Amino acid sequence: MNLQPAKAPHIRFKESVHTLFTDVIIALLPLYAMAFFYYGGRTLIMALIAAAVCYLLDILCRKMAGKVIKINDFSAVITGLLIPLMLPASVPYYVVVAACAFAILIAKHPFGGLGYNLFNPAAAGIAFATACWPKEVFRYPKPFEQIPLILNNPVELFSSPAAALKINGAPSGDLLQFFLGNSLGPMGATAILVILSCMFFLIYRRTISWHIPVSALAAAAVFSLLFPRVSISLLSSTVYELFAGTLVFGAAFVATDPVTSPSFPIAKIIYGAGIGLLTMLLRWFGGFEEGFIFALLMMNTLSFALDRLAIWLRFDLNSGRVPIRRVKAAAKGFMARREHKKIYIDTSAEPVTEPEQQQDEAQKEEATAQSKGGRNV
Amino acid sequence: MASWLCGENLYQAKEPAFSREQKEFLTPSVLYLPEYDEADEPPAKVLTADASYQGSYEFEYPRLSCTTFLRYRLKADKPKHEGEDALSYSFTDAPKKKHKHEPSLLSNRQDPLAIDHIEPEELLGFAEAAQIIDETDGKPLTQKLEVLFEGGFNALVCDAIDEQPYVSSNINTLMHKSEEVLGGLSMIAKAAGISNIFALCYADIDDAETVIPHKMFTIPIKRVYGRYPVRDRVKKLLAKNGRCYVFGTQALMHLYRAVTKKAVHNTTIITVAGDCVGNPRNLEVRVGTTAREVLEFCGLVKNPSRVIMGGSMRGAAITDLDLPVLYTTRAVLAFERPIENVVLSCISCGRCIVDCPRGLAPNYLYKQFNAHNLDALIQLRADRCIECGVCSYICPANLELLHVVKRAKTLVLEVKAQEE
Repeated sequence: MNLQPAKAPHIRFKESVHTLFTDVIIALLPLYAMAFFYYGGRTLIMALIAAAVCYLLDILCRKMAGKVIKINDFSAVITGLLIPLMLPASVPYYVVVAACAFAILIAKHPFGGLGYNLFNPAAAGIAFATACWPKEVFRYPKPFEQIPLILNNPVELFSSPAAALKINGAPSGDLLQFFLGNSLGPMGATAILVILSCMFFLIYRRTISWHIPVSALAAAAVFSLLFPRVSISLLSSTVYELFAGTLVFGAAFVATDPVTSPSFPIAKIIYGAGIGLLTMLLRWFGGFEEGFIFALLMMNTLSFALDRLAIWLRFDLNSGRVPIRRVKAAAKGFMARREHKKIYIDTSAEPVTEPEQQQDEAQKEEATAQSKGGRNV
Repeated sequence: MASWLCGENLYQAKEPAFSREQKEFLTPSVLYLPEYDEADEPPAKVLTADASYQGSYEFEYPRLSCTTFLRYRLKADKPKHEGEDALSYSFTDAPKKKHKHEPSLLSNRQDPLAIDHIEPEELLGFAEAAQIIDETDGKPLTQKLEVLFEGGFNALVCDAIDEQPYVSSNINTLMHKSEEVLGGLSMIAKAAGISNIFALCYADIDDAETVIPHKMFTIPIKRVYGRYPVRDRVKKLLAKNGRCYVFGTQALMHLYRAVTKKAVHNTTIITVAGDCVGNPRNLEVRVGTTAREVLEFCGLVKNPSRVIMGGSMRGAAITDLDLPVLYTTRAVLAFERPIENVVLSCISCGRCIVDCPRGLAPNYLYKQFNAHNLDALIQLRADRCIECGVCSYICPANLELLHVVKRAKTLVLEVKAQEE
């Protein structure tokens, strides 16, 4: 009998980091299916190249840093799968490779590797590609046109609805087609229906939490409701704003990266709202038609600060969770005193209110509520 | 933020031990007994449910944990006379204790449940002579009864909550030895003059084959539902009844036995379970029985790699099977497969923060503890931890969060004690 020492607790939940990563990869596969459906086999070749480049560079960096090589660490593969989905299907292969190399070699490992990186590697790679090759990144092919695997002849490229919104024009196309993905845009970010379904799948599996996507989309929707860029109906304008560009895809998959986003729920909500707001501001005033990536990188710098804010809110401000009973008792006392202060115009001879008795009652209620409920400091 | 969102739904693999009858194993070959030092006065903190109820899982008597230093070792004597118990045990150095309460008040009561009123002094005399120790917090029952009889309590509660998986010792005792348990509770109620008495049990058990009754001997058995740990929900349920006083199930049973049969408290009821055990059940064993004999009694069908003394979430894994079962041991579990020792780096997923019932941030506590940053540990309020273990349970990176947070808590408590 070989008894081993172990630390409590002695049962563990069956999920691990590896299952989290596999869940995300599974959730990305339908998006690649949609991209293949619209743009052909080139999308899959791009995915394979990106995943392979990221994985090999990750192993190379780990070796250089002297860390243990784990073969089943798929975090780099996720970065590799996310990058092509934010690029057009017609982008040359060297752009994809450059983006992946930047993501792993510059945004991930110099900061410490998995668990320690400050910036989202996929977002950093896309930002690099956007800054270096803006024309390749923002010109998209039409869906249902088979793009050849090797671009010997140039493919016909168009500007996206996001560019149309930038110049205050209404994008052409049915809203339903937008929702299904039959529109111009990055190859993984157009099929909104599939993106939302995959997001719900991940939320159900508790891989990501709902706070960041919901608050990002809500903040962007509120901003575009208040400041529409096109003069069609308000609801259509908001929907176009949300669907055009990489906002929905990014809010669902890129912004929810657990390492670079805050850990506290309230911090996640503020983080998501900041991303939504900054995205819309960059779309208005930025140089490019889509500002989500830069908004995400900016909010990444504030992740830890938002966690500190959440800690302050939780421990220093409240000394515990919100003391609901105390708040209710205080509100009740307040309302009772307000009732007492109201002036009753009564024609009968006897006075209606007895101020002292009501005050005593209110004080007694507060005292009993405070002694029964409330938390100890 | 709400308390019903904290914690985790654990699969309470309590069958078959949950529904089976209890057995007795009162004749081990070796007994190890712990040492009690009467010179140390314990603090007078009791488990009440008013505004200051904190609901902690730690025990006030650290020496009653399962890694206590051993003093007495008894071997079985041969029976001296015919017809006696086959084995009896004799102390080599018997502790000489001065009784605070009169032990001569042990009277011959025919049916203690039939009388209307019991003197508090009588119960105290019984509790002291029988040396009963409450198994939920490790306090002597005499001390708890003294606080109770001072007055100011509105309800008496029998704590039969078994919220950890595999452990069912309290609820099984309540269901199969209900006359003794509830008899003890009603005796205390008569002595203290409290009419509101009930028992509490955790009823969120998926695989239970028997139904927990709603009432036994006219005493209601209230159910608690929810995720592990259930302490917050218990607090709300108890606070509705005013100031409650909580006793453990086995203490009440032993008090009843002390009154009716003059039996000294030297047994405890534990659950023996796990996938290596052939006949998992609840067992009444003498305090001091080794884990080895307990497991041999129930039969080992596989080679265990982990033997745990205590519950599956908060117990300690032992490597020496000669460690004894103590008054506060709830279970002896034997598992075949070891837990993976792979520890990955924290990915800040935040599941520990969402699940922590006290609102702490175990991932930050882990990082700051490893960085030896005491100010951050104080600011993150490591002293609020109740050591339930949900953070380690849910962590996908398999970090030893509970271990680290416990050590951080000790450091912070030391600093706070120094400040006062």
